[in-house]
Amino acid sequence: MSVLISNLELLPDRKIIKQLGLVQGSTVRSKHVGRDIMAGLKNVFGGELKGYTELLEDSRAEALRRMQAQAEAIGANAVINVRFSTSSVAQGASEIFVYGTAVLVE
Amino acid sequence: MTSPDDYEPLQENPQLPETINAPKVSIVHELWLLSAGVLATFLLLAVMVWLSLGWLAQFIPLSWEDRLIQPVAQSWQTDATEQAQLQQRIDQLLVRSEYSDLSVQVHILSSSELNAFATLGGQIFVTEGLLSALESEVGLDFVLLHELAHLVHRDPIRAAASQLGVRLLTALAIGQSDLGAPTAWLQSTELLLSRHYSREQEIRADDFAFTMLQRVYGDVEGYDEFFVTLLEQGDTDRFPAFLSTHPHTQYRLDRLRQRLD
Amino acid sequence: MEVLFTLASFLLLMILGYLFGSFAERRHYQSIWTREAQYRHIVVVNQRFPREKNVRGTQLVMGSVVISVDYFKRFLATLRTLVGGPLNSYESLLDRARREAILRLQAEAEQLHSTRVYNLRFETSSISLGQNDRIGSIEVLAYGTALIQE
Repeated sequence: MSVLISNLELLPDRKIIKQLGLVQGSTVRSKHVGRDIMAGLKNVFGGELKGYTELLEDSRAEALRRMQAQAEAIGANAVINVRFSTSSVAQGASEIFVYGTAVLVE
Repeated sequence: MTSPDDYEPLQENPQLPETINAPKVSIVHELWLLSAGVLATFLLLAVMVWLSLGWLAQFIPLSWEDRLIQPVAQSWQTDATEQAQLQQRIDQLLVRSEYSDLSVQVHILSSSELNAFATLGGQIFVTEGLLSALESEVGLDFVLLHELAHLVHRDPIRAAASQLGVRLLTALAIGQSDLGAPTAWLQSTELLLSRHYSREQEIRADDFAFTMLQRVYGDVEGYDEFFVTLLEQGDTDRFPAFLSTHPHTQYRLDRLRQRLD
Repeated sequence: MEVLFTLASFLLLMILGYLFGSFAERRHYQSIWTREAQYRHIVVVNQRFPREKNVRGTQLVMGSVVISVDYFKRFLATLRTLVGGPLNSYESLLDRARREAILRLQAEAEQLHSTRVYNLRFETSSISLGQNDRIGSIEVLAYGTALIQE
Protein backbone atom coordinates (compact mmCIF):
# COMPACT_ATOMS: atom_id res chain seq x y z
CA MET A 1 0.00 0.00 0.00
CA SER A 2 1.45 3.31 -0.99
CA VAL A 3 1.35 6.36 1.18
CA LEU A 4 -0.91 9.17 0.05
CA ILE A 5 0.88 12.48 -0.32
CA SER A 6 -0.78 15.86 -0.34
CA ASN A 7 0.16 19.41 0.34
CA LEU A 8 -3.31 20.22 1.57
CA GLU A 9 -3.91 20.82 5.22
CA LEU A 10 -6.58 18.14 5.21
CA LEU A 11 -7.96 15.66 2.75
CA PRO A 12 -11.50 16.66 1.68
CA ASP A 13 -12.50 13.13 0.70
CA ARG A 14 -10.95 11.33 3.64
CA LYS A 15 -11.35 11.49 7.37
CA ILE A 16 -8.21 11.77 9.43
CA ILE A 17 -8.25 9.29 12.28
CA LYS A 18 -4.94 9.89 13.91
CA GLN A 19 -2.05 12.35 13.83
CA LEU A 20 1.26 10.50 13.75
CA GLY A 21 3.95 13.13 13.61
CA LEU A 22 6.54 14.82 11.45
CA VAL A 23 8.24 12.80 8.71
CA GLN A 24 11.09 13.89 6.45
CA GLY A 25 12.92 12.72 3.39
CA SER A 26 16.15 14.11 2.10
CA THR A 27 18.76 13.30 -0.51
CA VAL A 28 21.94 14.92 -1.77
CA ARG A 29 22.99 14.28 -5.35
CA SER A 30 25.36 15.49 -7.99
CA LYS A 31 25.65 15.16 -11.74
CA HIS A 32 28.94 14.12 -13.29
CA VAL A 33 31.34 16.75 -14.49
CA GLY A 34 30.53 16.30 -18.18
CA ARG A 35 26.99 17.41 -17.52
CA ASP A 36 28.32 20.35 -15.51
CA ILE A 37 30.40 21.47 -18.46
CA MET A 38 27.43 21.16 -20.83
CA ALA A 39 25.38 23.17 -18.37
CA GLY A 40 28.12 25.81 -18.33
CA LEU A 41 27.83 26.09 -22.11
CA LYS A 42 24.07 26.25 -21.89
CA ASN A 43 24.41 29.16 -19.51
CA VAL A 44 25.76 31.22 -22.41
CA PHE A 45 22.80 30.61 -24.69
CA GLY A 46 20.07 30.13 -22.12
CA GLY A 47 17.41 27.47 -22.25
CA GLU A 48 16.57 24.46 -20.19
CA LEU A 49 19.34 22.54 -18.49
CA LYS A 50 17.93 19.09 -19.17
CA GLY A 51 20.63 17.38 -17.15
CA TYR A 52 19.86 19.39 -14.07
CA THR A 53 16.11 19.05 -14.49
CA GLU A 54 16.56 15.29 -14.55
CA LEU A 55 18.89 15.37 -11.57
CA LEU A 56 16.43 17.33 -9.47
CA GLU A 57 13.48 15.18 -10.59
CA ASP A 58 15.34 12.03 -9.59
CA SER A 59 16.34 13.53 -6.27
CA ARG A 60 12.81 14.65 -5.56
CA ALA A 61 11.47 11.18 -6.27
CA GLU A 62 14.09 9.67 -3.96
CA ALA A 63 13.34 12.19 -1.19
CA LEU A 64 9.62 11.41 -1.48
CA ARG A 65 10.37 7.68 -1.32
CA ARG A 66 12.33 8.23 1.88
CA MET A 67 9.58 10.30 3.45
CA GLN A 68 7.05 7.61 2.53
CA ALA A 69 9.30 4.98 4.06
CA GLN A 70 9.38 6.95 7.31
CA ALA A 71 5.60 7.34 7.24
CA GLU A 72 5.09 3.64 6.64
CA ALA A 73 7.45 2.80 9.47
CA ILE A 74 5.22 4.62 11.95
CA GLY A 75 2.02 3.15 10.57
CA ALA A 76 0.74 6.10 8.55
CA ASN A 77 -1.08 5.87 5.24
CA ALA A 78 -0.96 9.53 4.29
CA VAL A 79 1.33 12.55 4.60
CA ILE A 80 -0.35 15.92 4.53
CA ASN A 81 0.87 19.48 4.29
CA VAL A 82 3.95 18.41 2.36
CA ARG A 83 6.65 21.02 1.66
CA PHE A 84 9.67 20.80 -0.60
CA SER A 85 12.90 22.69 -0.29
CA THR A 86 16.03 22.69 -2.45
CA SER A 87 19.41 23.94 -1.39
CA SER A 88 22.94 23.65 -2.70
CA VAL A 89 25.16 22.06 -0.12
CA ALA A 90 28.35 21.68 -2.14
CA GLN A 91 29.55 22.83 -5.52
CA GLY A 92 27.67 20.87 -8.16
CA ALA A 93 25.50 19.08 -5.61
CA SER A 94 22.09 19.92 -4.28
CA GLU A 95 19.90 18.67 -1.53
CA ILE A 96 16.22 18.02 -1.93
CA PHE A 97 14.34 17.99 1.31
CA VAL A 98 10.68 17.16 1.78
CA TYR A 99 8.67 17.08 4.97
CA GLY A 100 5.10 16.76 6.11
CA THR A 101 2.82 15.44 8.82
CA ALA A 102 2.09 11.74 8.77
CA VAL A 103 -1.51 10.79 9.53
CA LEU A 104 -3.73 7.78 9.47
CA VAL A 105 -6.79 8.27 7.25
CA GLU A 106 -9.85 6.16 6.67
CA MET B 1 -11.20 27.44 7.93
CA THR B 2 -12.05 24.64 10.29
CA SER B 3 -11.61 20.98 9.85
CA PRO B 4 -14.56 18.65 10.16
CA ASP B 5 -12.24 15.93 11.35
CA ASP B 6 -11.89 15.29 14.99
CA TYR B 7 -8.89 13.09 15.10
CA GLU B 8 -6.86 11.73 17.92
CA PRO B 9 -4.04 14.19 18.74
CA LEU B 10 -0.47 13.10 18.87
CA GLN B 11 0.84 12.39 22.36
CA GLU B 12 4.52 12.11 21.54
CA ASN B 13 6.80 12.38 18.54
CA PRO B 14 7.28 9.12 16.66
CA GLN B 15 10.50 7.14 16.83
CA LEU B 16 11.66 7.02 13.24
CA PRO B 17 14.03 4.46 11.72
CA GLU B 18 17.61 5.77 11.55
CA THR B 19 18.87 4.59 8.20
CA ILE B 20 16.31 6.10 5.84
CA ASN B 21 17.69 9.61 5.46
CA ALA B 22 21.27 8.76 6.39
CA PRO B 23 22.03 5.34 4.90
CA LYS B 24 24.95 3.57 6.56
CA VAL B 25 27.76 3.46 4.02
CA SER B 26 31.48 2.96 4.38
CA ILE B 27 32.99 6.26 3.32
CA VAL B 28 36.50 4.78 3.19
CA HIS B 29 35.33 2.15 0.73
CA GLU B 30 33.63 4.86 -1.31
CA LEU B 31 36.84 6.89 -1.31
CA TRP B 32 38.89 3.97 -2.70
CA LEU B 33 36.37 3.24 -5.43
CA LEU B 34 36.02 6.87 -6.46
CA SER B 35 39.70 7.73 -6.44
CA ALA B 36 40.61 4.61 -8.42
CA GLY B 37 37.98 5.43 -11.02
CA VAL B 38 38.89 9.08 -11.28
CA LEU B 39 42.61 8.34 -11.45
CA ALA B 40 42.15 5.76 -14.21
CA THR B 41 40.05 8.19 -16.23
CA PHE B 42 42.62 10.93 -15.77
CA LEU B 43 45.48 8.69 -16.89
CA LEU B 44 43.53 7.62 -19.96
CA LEU B 45 42.82 11.25 -20.82
CA ALA B 46 46.46 12.19 -20.26
CA VAL B 47 47.67 9.46 -22.61
CA MET B 48 45.17 10.58 -25.24
CA VAL B 49 46.23 14.22 -24.92
CA TRP B 50 49.91 13.24 -25.01
CA LEU B 51 49.54 11.19 -28.18
CA SER B 52 47.19 13.50 -30.06
CA LEU B 53 49.12 16.69 -29.33
CA GLY B 54 52.41 14.97 -30.17
CA TRP B 55 50.93 13.98 -33.51
CA LEU B 56 49.39 17.40 -34.21
CA ALA B 57 52.59 19.27 -33.34
CA GLN B 58 54.36 18.02 -36.47
CA PHE B 59 52.14 20.36 -38.49
CA ILE B 60 53.38 23.46 -36.66
CA PRO B 61 55.42 25.54 -39.15
CA LEU B 62 59.16 25.59 -38.52
CA SER B 63 59.13 29.40 -38.46
CA TRP B 64 56.89 29.40 -35.36
CA GLU B 65 59.29 27.10 -33.62
CA ASP B 66 62.15 29.45 -34.49
CA ARG B 67 60.30 32.44 -33.14
CA LEU B 68 59.68 30.58 -29.88
CA ILE B 69 63.33 29.76 -29.33
CA GLN B 70 65.00 32.93 -30.72
CA PRO B 71 64.91 35.04 -27.51
CA VAL B 72 66.60 32.24 -25.60
CA ALA B 73 68.94 31.18 -28.40
CA GLN B 74 70.50 34.70 -28.54
CA SER B 75 72.34 34.04 -25.31
CA TRP B 76 73.98 30.90 -26.64
CA GLN B 77 75.82 32.57 -29.50
CA THR B 78 79.57 32.11 -29.20
CA ASP B 79 82.05 32.23 -32.04
CA ALA B 80 84.73 29.85 -30.97
CA THR B 81 86.61 28.22 -33.82
CA GLU B 82 85.68 24.79 -32.58
CA GLN B 83 82.04 25.67 -32.83
CA ALA B 84 82.47 27.11 -36.32
CA GLN B 85 84.11 23.88 -37.41
CA LEU B 86 81.32 21.81 -35.96
CA GLN B 87 78.73 24.04 -37.63
CA GLN B 88 80.46 23.59 -40.96
CA ARG B 89 80.47 19.85 -40.44
CA ILE B 90 76.75 19.80 -39.79
CA ASP B 91 76.03 21.97 -42.81
CA GLN B 92 78.00 19.55 -44.96
CA LEU B 93 76.10 16.60 -43.50
CA LEU B 94 72.84 18.39 -44.29
CA VAL B 95 73.85 18.93 -47.90
CA ARG B 96 75.07 15.39 -48.36
CA SER B 97 72.04 13.84 -46.72
CA GLU B 98 69.67 15.92 -48.87
CA TYR B 99 68.21 17.94 -45.98
CA SER B 100 69.91 21.20 -46.91
CA ASP B 101 66.73 23.25 -46.45
CA LEU B 102 66.81 22.53 -42.71
CA SER B 103 68.42 25.33 -40.70
CA VAL B 104 70.46 23.99 -37.81
CA GLN B 105 72.59 25.75 -35.22
CA VAL B 106 75.10 23.89 -33.13
CA HIS B 107 76.33 24.83 -29.65
CA ILE B 108 79.09 23.39 -27.52
CA LEU B 109 78.41 22.88 -23.83
CA SER B 110 81.34 22.94 -21.44
CA SER B 111 80.65 19.68 -19.69
CA SER B 112 82.66 16.52 -19.30
CA GLU B 113 79.56 14.37 -19.73
CA LEU B 114 79.11 12.37 -22.90
CA ASN B 115 75.98 13.94 -24.26
CA ALA B 116 74.34 15.53 -27.25
CA PHE B 117 70.76 16.64 -27.72
CA ALA B 118 68.51 18.45 -30.15
CA THR B 119 65.90 20.96 -29.10
CA LEU B 120 63.38 23.43 -30.51
CA GLY B 121 64.17 25.70 -33.42
CA GLY B 122 66.86 23.46 -34.93
CA GLN B 123 69.30 23.83 -32.02
CA ILE B 124 71.77 21.04 -31.38
CA PHE B 125 73.93 20.85 -28.25
CA VAL B 126 77.10 18.81 -28.01
CA THR B 127 79.25 18.54 -24.88
CA GLU B 128 82.99 19.06 -24.87
CA GLY B 129 83.31 15.67 -23.21
CA LEU B 130 81.71 14.00 -26.19
CA LEU B 131 83.86 15.86 -28.71
CA SER B 132 87.07 14.82 -27.03
CA ALA B 133 85.93 11.23 -26.48
CA LEU B 134 84.99 10.54 -30.08
CA GLU B 135 88.10 10.06 -32.22
CA SER B 136 86.71 9.09 -35.62
CA GLU B 137 84.75 11.36 -37.91
CA VAL B 138 82.21 8.64 -38.60
CA GLY B 139 81.58 8.24 -34.87
CA LEU B 140 80.86 11.95 -34.46
CA ASP B 141 78.78 12.07 -37.64
CA PHE B 142 76.58 9.27 -36.37
CA VAL B 143 75.82 11.27 -33.22
CA LEU B 144 75.18 14.45 -35.20
CA LEU B 145 72.93 12.61 -37.66
CA HIS B 146 71.01 11.11 -34.75
CA GLU B 147 70.32 14.61 -33.44
CA LEU B 148 69.47 15.85 -36.94
CA ALA B 149 66.97 13.00 -37.16
CA HIS B 150 65.15 14.37 -34.11
CA LEU B 151 64.90 17.72 -35.90
CA VAL B 152 63.73 16.13 -39.15
CA HIS B 153 61.07 14.14 -37.28
CA ARG B 154 60.02 17.30 -35.35
CA ASP B 155 60.59 15.47 -32.06
CA PRO B 156 61.38 18.59 -29.96
CA ILE B 157 58.13 20.41 -30.76
CA ARG B 158 56.14 17.19 -30.42
CA ALA B 159 57.58 16.49 -26.99
CA ALA B 160 56.98 20.09 -25.94
CA ALA B 161 53.36 20.03 -27.14
CA SER B 162 52.65 16.72 -25.39
CA GLN B 163 54.15 17.95 -22.14
CA LEU B 164 52.28 21.22 -22.29
CA GLY B 165 49.00 19.40 -22.93
CA VAL B 166 49.42 17.07 -19.98
CA ARG B 167 50.38 19.97 -17.72
CA LEU B 168 47.31 21.94 -18.73
CA LEU B 169 45.16 18.87 -18.14
CA THR B 170 46.68 18.36 -14.71
CA ALA B 171 46.10 22.00 -13.82
CA LEU B 172 42.47 21.70 -14.92
CA ALA B 173 42.00 18.47 -12.98
CA ILE B 174 43.46 19.88 -9.78
CA GLY B 175 40.97 22.68 -10.21
CA GLN B 176 43.24 25.63 -10.64
CA SER B 177 40.92 28.21 -12.07
CA ASP B 178 43.85 30.36 -13.18
CA LEU B 179 46.17 28.69 -15.64
CA GLY B 180 49.10 30.79 -14.50
CA ALA B 181 51.49 27.98 -13.70
CA PRO B 182 51.29 26.12 -17.03
CA THR B 183 51.38 29.39 -18.95
CA ALA B 184 54.50 30.46 -17.09
CA TRP B 185 55.97 27.07 -17.88
CA LEU B 186 55.16 27.64 -21.55
CA GLN B 187 57.50 30.63 -21.49
CA SER B 188 60.18 28.98 -19.40
CA THR B 189 63.42 27.62 -20.77
CA GLU B 190 62.48 24.26 -19.31
CA LEU B 191 59.96 23.80 -22.10
CA LEU B 192 62.29 25.18 -24.76
CA LEU B 193 64.97 22.74 -23.71
CA SER B 194 62.64 19.80 -23.26
CA ARG B 195 64.47 16.86 -24.72
CA HIS B 196 62.70 13.86 -23.30
CA TYR B 197 61.84 11.81 -26.29
CA SER B 198 60.11 8.48 -26.26
CA ARG B 199 61.94 5.20 -26.83
CA GLU B 200 60.30 4.94 -30.23
CA GLN B 201 61.58 8.38 -31.18
CA GLU B 202 65.14 7.44 -30.13
CA ILE B 203 65.05 4.18 -32.09
CA ARG B 204 63.68 5.99 -35.11
CA ALA B 205 66.49 8.56 -34.88
CA ASP B 206 69.06 5.75 -34.66
CA ASP B 207 67.66 4.17 -37.80
CA PHE B 208 67.66 7.49 -39.59
CA ALA B 209 71.28 8.18 -38.62
CA PHE B 210 72.31 4.73 -39.77
CA THR B 211 70.63 5.11 -43.15
CA MET B 212 72.06 8.60 -43.67
CA LEU B 213 75.52 7.43 -42.70
CA GLN B 214 75.27 4.77 -45.39
CA ARG B 215 74.16 7.38 -47.88
CA VAL B 216 76.95 9.82 -46.98
CA TYR B 217 79.87 7.42 -46.59
CA GLY B 218 78.63 4.38 -48.45
CA ASP B 219 80.05 2.38 -45.60
CA VAL B 220 79.11 2.58 -41.91
CA GLU B 221 82.34 1.26 -40.39
CA GLY B 222 82.92 2.88 -36.98
CA TYR B 223 79.38 4.21 -36.52
CA ASP B 224 79.16 2.56 -33.08
CA GLU B 225 81.97 4.55 -31.47
CA PHE B 226 79.57 6.57 -29.33
CA PHE B 227 77.80 3.51 -27.93
CA VAL B 228 81.02 1.63 -27.36
CA THR B 229 82.61 4.59 -25.56
CA LEU B 230 79.50 5.03 -23.47
CA LEU B 231 79.51 1.37 -22.48
CA GLU B 232 83.25 1.46 -21.72
CA GLN B 233 82.70 4.40 -19.42
CA GLY B 234 80.39 2.20 -17.41
CA ASP B 235 77.11 3.70 -18.52
CA THR B 236 74.91 1.76 -16.15
CA ASP B 237 71.27 2.34 -16.71
CA ARG B 238 69.69 3.34 -13.48
CA PHE B 239 66.18 2.29 -14.30
CA PRO B 240 64.75 -0.81 -15.95
CA ALA B 241 64.14 -0.23 -19.64
CA PHE B 242 60.38 0.12 -19.44
CA LEU B 243 60.71 3.01 -16.97
CA SER B 244 63.36 4.87 -18.86
CA THR B 245 62.53 7.16 -21.76
CA HIS B 246 65.88 6.42 -23.35
CA PRO B 247 66.35 2.81 -24.46
CA HIS B 248 69.36 1.08 -22.99
CA THR B 249 72.62 1.70 -24.77
CA GLN B 250 73.34 -2.01 -25.17
CA TYR B 251 69.92 -2.57 -26.70
CA ARG B 252 70.40 0.24 -29.22
CA LEU B 253 73.82 -1.08 -30.18
CA ASP B 254 72.55 -4.65 -30.57
CA ARG B 255 69.71 -3.47 -32.80
CA LEU B 256 72.03 -1.60 -35.15
CA ARG B 257 74.51 -4.50 -35.27
CA GLN B 258 71.70 -6.84 -36.20
CA ARG B 259 70.72 -4.43 -38.94
CA LEU B 260 74.25 -4.46 -40.29
CA ASP B 261 74.15 -8.25 -40.56
CA MET C 1 60.20 18.27 -2.24
CA GLU C 2 57.34 20.73 -2.39
CA VAL C 3 55.13 18.07 -3.93
CA LEU C 4 55.97 15.67 -1.09
CA PHE C 5 55.09 18.29 1.47
CA THR C 6 51.75 19.01 -0.19
CA LEU C 7 51.00 15.30 -0.39
CA ALA C 8 51.95 14.71 3.23
CA SER C 9 49.77 17.56 4.48
CA PHE C 10 46.91 16.32 2.32
CA LEU C 11 47.17 12.81 3.78
CA LEU C 12 47.42 14.19 7.30
CA LEU C 13 44.33 16.34 6.78
CA MET C 14 42.47 13.38 5.32
CA ILE C 15 43.31 11.14 8.27
CA LEU C 16 42.55 13.84 10.83
CA GLY C 17 39.34 14.71 9.01
CA TYR C 18 38.27 11.09 8.97
CA LEU C 19 39.11 10.34 12.60
CA PHE C 20 37.68 13.52 14.10
CA GLY C 21 34.79 13.60 11.67
CA SER C 22 33.56 10.10 12.47
CA PHE C 23 34.18 10.62 16.20
CA ALA C 24 32.16 13.85 16.17
CA GLU C 25 29.40 12.22 14.16
CA ARG C 26 29.09 9.26 16.54
CA ARG C 27 29.05 11.53 19.56
CA HIS C 28 26.49 13.86 17.98
CA TYR C 29 24.14 10.99 17.17
CA GLN C 30 24.43 9.72 20.76
CA SER C 31 23.44 13.14 22.05
CA ILE C 32 20.62 13.43 19.51
CA TRP C 33 19.14 10.10 20.59
CA THR C 34 19.17 10.97 24.29
CA ARG C 35 17.67 14.41 23.78
CA GLU C 36 15.05 13.15 21.33
CA ALA C 37 13.89 10.70 23.99
CA GLN C 38 13.88 13.50 26.55
CA TYR C 39 11.77 15.85 24.38
CA ARG C 40 9.52 13.20 22.90
CA HIS C 41 6.49 14.68 24.70
CA ILE C 42 6.93 18.04 22.94
CA VAL C 43 5.03 17.31 19.76
CA VAL C 44 6.22 19.01 16.58
CA VAL C 45 4.12 18.93 13.41
CA ASN C 46 3.85 21.10 10.35
CA GLN C 47 0.07 21.32 10.35
CA ARG C 48 -1.28 24.82 10.46
CA PHE C 49 -4.57 24.51 12.32
CA PRO C 50 -4.33 23.49 15.94
CA ARG C 51 -7.41 21.88 17.42
CA GLU C 52 -6.45 22.31 21.04
CA LYS C 53 -9.17 24.17 22.94
CA ASN C 54 -7.53 25.49 26.06
CA VAL C 55 -4.88 27.72 24.44
CA ARG C 56 -3.75 30.68 26.52
CA GLY C 57 -1.28 32.08 24.01
CA THR C 58 1.17 31.35 21.24
CA GLN C 59 4.80 32.11 20.67
CA LEU C 60 7.24 31.66 17.82
CA VAL C 61 10.03 29.22 18.65
CA MET C 62 13.19 28.63 16.68
CA GLY C 63 16.17 26.37 16.59
CA SER C 64 19.11 26.83 14.31
CA VAL C 65 22.43 25.14 13.74
CA VAL C 66 25.42 25.78 11.51
CA ILE C 67 27.26 22.64 10.63
CA SER C 68 30.46 22.11 8.70
CA VAL C 69 31.73 19.11 6.82
CA ASP C 70 35.14 17.60 7.56
CA TYR C 71 38.07 17.52 5.14
CA PHE C 72 37.65 13.85 4.33
CA LYS C 73 34.00 14.16 3.38
CA ARG C 74 34.64 17.35 1.46
CA PHE C 75 37.29 15.60 -0.62
CA LEU C 76 34.95 12.67 -1.13
CA ALA C 77 32.27 15.08 -2.32
CA THR C 78 34.70 16.71 -4.75
CA LEU C 79 35.45 13.30 -6.26
CA ARG C 80 31.76 12.41 -6.28
CA THR C 81 30.78 15.53 -8.20
CA LEU C 82 33.16 14.42 -10.98
CA VAL C 83 31.39 11.10 -11.32
CA GLY C 84 27.87 12.04 -10.27
CA GLY C 85 25.48 10.19 -8.00
CA PRO C 86 24.37 10.36 -4.39
CA LEU C 87 26.55 12.12 -1.85
CA ASN C 88 25.90 9.79 1.05
CA SER C 89 28.48 11.49 3.21
CA TYR C 90 26.51 14.77 3.16
CA GLU C 91 23.18 13.10 3.86
CA SER C 92 24.08 12.12 7.41
CA LEU C 93 25.40 15.63 7.96
CA LEU C 94 22.11 17.21 6.96
CA ASP C 95 20.14 14.63 8.90
CA ARG C 96 22.07 15.56 12.02
CA ALA C 97 21.69 19.29 11.36
CA ARG C 98 17.94 19.05 10.92
CA ARG C 99 17.39 16.93 13.99
CA GLU C 100 19.60 19.23 16.04
CA ALA C 101 17.60 22.27 14.87
CA ILE C 102 14.34 20.59 15.93
CA LEU C 103 15.86 19.71 19.31
CA ARG C 104 16.82 23.33 19.92
CA LEU C 105 13.32 24.42 18.92
CA GLN C 106 11.91 21.88 21.37
CA ALA C 107 14.20 23.20 24.09
CA GLU C 108 12.80 26.67 23.51
CA ALA C 109 9.26 25.29 23.64
CA GLU C 110 10.01 23.54 26.91
CA GLN C 111 11.05 26.85 28.47
CA LEU C 112 7.55 28.10 27.67
CA HIS C 113 6.04 24.93 29.17
CA SER C 114 4.56 24.17 25.80
CA THR C 115 4.06 20.63 24.52
CA ARG C 116 2.73 21.55 21.08
CA VAL C 117 4.54 23.20 18.19
CA TYR C 118 2.54 23.81 15.02
CA ASN C 119 3.38 24.92 11.50
CA LEU C 120 7.00 23.86 11.61
CA ARG C 121 9.07 25.21 8.71
CA PHE C 122 12.64 24.51 7.71
CA GLU C 123 15.11 26.81 6.04
CA THR C 124 18.42 25.47 4.71
CA SER C 125 21.16 27.72 3.43
CA SER C 126 24.84 27.53 2.73
CA ILE C 127 26.28 30.40 4.68
CA SER C 128 30.00 30.53 4.05
CA LEU C 129 31.85 30.17 0.84
CA GLY C 130 35.14 28.45 1.47
CA GLN C 131 38.21 28.50 -0.68
CA ASN C 132 37.63 28.03 -4.41
CA ASP C 133 33.91 28.74 -3.97
CA ARG C 134 33.46 25.44 -2.23
CA ILE C 135 30.60 25.64 0.15
CA GLY C 136 31.84 24.95 3.63
CA SER C 137 29.03 25.32 6.13
CA ILE C 138 25.32 24.79 6.07
CA GLU C 139 22.77 26.47 8.28
CA VAL C 140 19.52 24.78 9.12
CA LEU C 141 16.79 26.79 10.78
CA ALA C 142 13.62 25.25 12.16
CA TYR C 143 10.80 27.49 13.33
CA GLY C 144 7.22 27.03 14.38
CA THR C 145 4.54 28.27 16.73
CA ALA C 146 4.36 26.90 20.23
CA LEU C 147 0.94 26.71 21.88
CA ILE C 148 0.85 27.71 25.50
CA GLN C 149 -1.93 25.80 27.16
CA GLU C 150 -3.62 26.32 30.49
